[in-house]
Amino acid sequence: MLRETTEVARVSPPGKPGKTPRSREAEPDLLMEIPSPSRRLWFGLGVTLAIFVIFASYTIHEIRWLQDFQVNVVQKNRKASLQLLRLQDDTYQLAVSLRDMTLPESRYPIFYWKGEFSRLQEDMNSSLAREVEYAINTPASDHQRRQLRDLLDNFWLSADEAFTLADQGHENSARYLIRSQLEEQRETISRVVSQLLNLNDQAQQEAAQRVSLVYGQVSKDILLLIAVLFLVALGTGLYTLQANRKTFERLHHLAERLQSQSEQLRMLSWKLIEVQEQTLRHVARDLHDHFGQILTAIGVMLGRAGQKALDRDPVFVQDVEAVKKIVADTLQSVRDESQIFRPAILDDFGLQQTLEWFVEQFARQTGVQVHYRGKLSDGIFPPEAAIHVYRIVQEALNNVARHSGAREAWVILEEKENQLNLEIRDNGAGFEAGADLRRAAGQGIGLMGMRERAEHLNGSFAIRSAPQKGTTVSVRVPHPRPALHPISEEAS
Amino acid sequence: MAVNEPEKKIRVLLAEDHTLVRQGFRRILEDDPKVTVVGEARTGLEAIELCKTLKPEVVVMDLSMPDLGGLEATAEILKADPGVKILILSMYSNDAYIRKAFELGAKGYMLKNALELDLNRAVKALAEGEAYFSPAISQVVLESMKAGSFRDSTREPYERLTLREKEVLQLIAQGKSNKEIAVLLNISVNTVAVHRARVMETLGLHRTAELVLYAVKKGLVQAE
Repeated sequence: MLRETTEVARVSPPGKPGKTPRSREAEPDLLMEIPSPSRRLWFGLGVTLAIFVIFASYTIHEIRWLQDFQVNVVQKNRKASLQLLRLQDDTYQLAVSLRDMTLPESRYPIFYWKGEFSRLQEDMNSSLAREVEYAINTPASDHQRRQLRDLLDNFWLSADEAFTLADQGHENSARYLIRSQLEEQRETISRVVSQLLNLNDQAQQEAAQRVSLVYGQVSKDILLLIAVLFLVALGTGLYTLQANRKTFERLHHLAERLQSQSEQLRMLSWKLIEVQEQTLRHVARDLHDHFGQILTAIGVMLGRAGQKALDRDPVFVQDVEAVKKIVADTLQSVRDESQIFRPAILDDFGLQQTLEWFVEQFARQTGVQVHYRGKLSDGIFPPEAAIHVYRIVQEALNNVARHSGAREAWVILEEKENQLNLEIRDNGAGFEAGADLRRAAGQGIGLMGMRERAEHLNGSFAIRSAPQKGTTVSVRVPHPRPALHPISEEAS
Repeated sequence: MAVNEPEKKIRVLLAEDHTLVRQGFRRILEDDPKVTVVGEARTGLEAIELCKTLKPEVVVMDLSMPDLGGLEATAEILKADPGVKILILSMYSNDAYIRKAFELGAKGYMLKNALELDLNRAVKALAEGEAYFSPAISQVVLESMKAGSFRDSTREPYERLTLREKEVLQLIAQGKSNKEIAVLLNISVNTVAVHRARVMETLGLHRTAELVLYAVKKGLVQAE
């Protein structure tokens, strides 16, 4: 007994402080372990959008520039070329005029061309001015243009000189001047204009090249953008996957830990039940074997004393009888108490007879009529398992007596296919499945204890009830039949 | 049997594990000049041994004793000498115990209750060849008979075994040795041997292999 008590005391305290605080610490710890991926995902999304916006605006900028370039540069270039062509045309007209002026059979005096010359001068100046306005300036073309201007200036100066000579009556000198200088100058002008045209053409080709270059650059940029966006999206996606996987892993881990904790709690509560059973068993045995026997001995000796004094002292005999009665009553209480703690019949005769005995006892004490039907096969239901089935019946019937108000109850125990089916049913008040059950569960660990015991025996526990429909407790437990093993050496 | 001569006392063996109670019983029994206590046993095994040597007429047998209990000892004693009258003393008035006691051949059953513990009367009744129930027990037997639960359950040999004997049978079938069984059930090896012999005797079997086969058929163990 003493040994057992210390064992009981040793079992529970390390269990309690050892496990409860750890589980209390562990929960926030576990939750902290899961970082929210949303901050990084927001960052990834922000980077993606920023890259997209930057690239898009850059590309739009490039395209706009291309538009401008095409509109301003190419168009202007074309306009400049037109002006150059006009200049070219003017130089041809000049050539015609110069030839006509110097022909010997010329019927017209030189001054006659003055008007024509000043129109061409004006036209060429304006062409040149507009060409400069439109032209794309390159060092080469600038040089040519300056040269052209100087040439034109010289040409008009020479032309003026020729006209002046002609006005003064030196027609021949003028003709000579025209033939010797002006024609030459005009040819130079015409050549420079051609060169400028060439340059312009080159500039146009260069511009076209540049445009296609820029287009290539833009399409490259767009490809790059797509690639970068793809990479960023890929990175974000991979990170999301990774984060999700980690989160799920941690959740899984968390669930496992929670499960193991609830497992531990169940083990603890089961341990409590077990310790309770052990204690009850020992207390019952102690009460019965020790105090019961002492009371028996006292009673026996009192009886003997009474017998001896029977004829001599009637008053003493009366007293002895009274004390004997007290001893007998006490013995009866001890016996009853011990049977409540742990029915000896369970260890001596097994489950079926124990239930028969209990049901009868219960009916006598509570006035509830109990119909018992029980048939177990010959296999032994070991007392260590049977005590839990017995406790379930005890608890269920006690609930019937305490709460249901039923006058009748049914206890059915049967064995089917190696499974023990137990049903305790009453025709009492019943209860609402939801709230009342919780209240009922709160009233004590009765229901919990029943379930715990059934589950410990690898069985199932169910309770069904409805107001005014009675209550049914069903338990299914597999028969713990041991397996056959080879026979050991020692025979009878 | 001739009428008891005054000098011939009823030889009683007292089997009771609790010393105080045993001493009390002995005094009460010996208060009667016609009764003599020839021996005291503290366990069922001791009772069996003493019966063999002392040859008592009546055994006053406590039902619950350590190691081998009163019921099994009763069966074993009667196997060796069916003429011994056995009076069971018990704390339990449950009909399961009473029924089992009579199944096993006890002739009397008394509740260990000071108010009705008239040991000498019971011992003398048994010695005369009568059966004896103490008043509370008579009541239970009567009720059981009324309820029909006192029918003969002796038809099945298996049912004649005690729970302890059934346990031993199951453990034998599991291949456990006597020593292992003794450790598992917290009883002595000799007691296991008694149980084993009783099981074989009751079931009419002679070899361990037959016991195993029987246990498998009975569903006490599962053949894999």
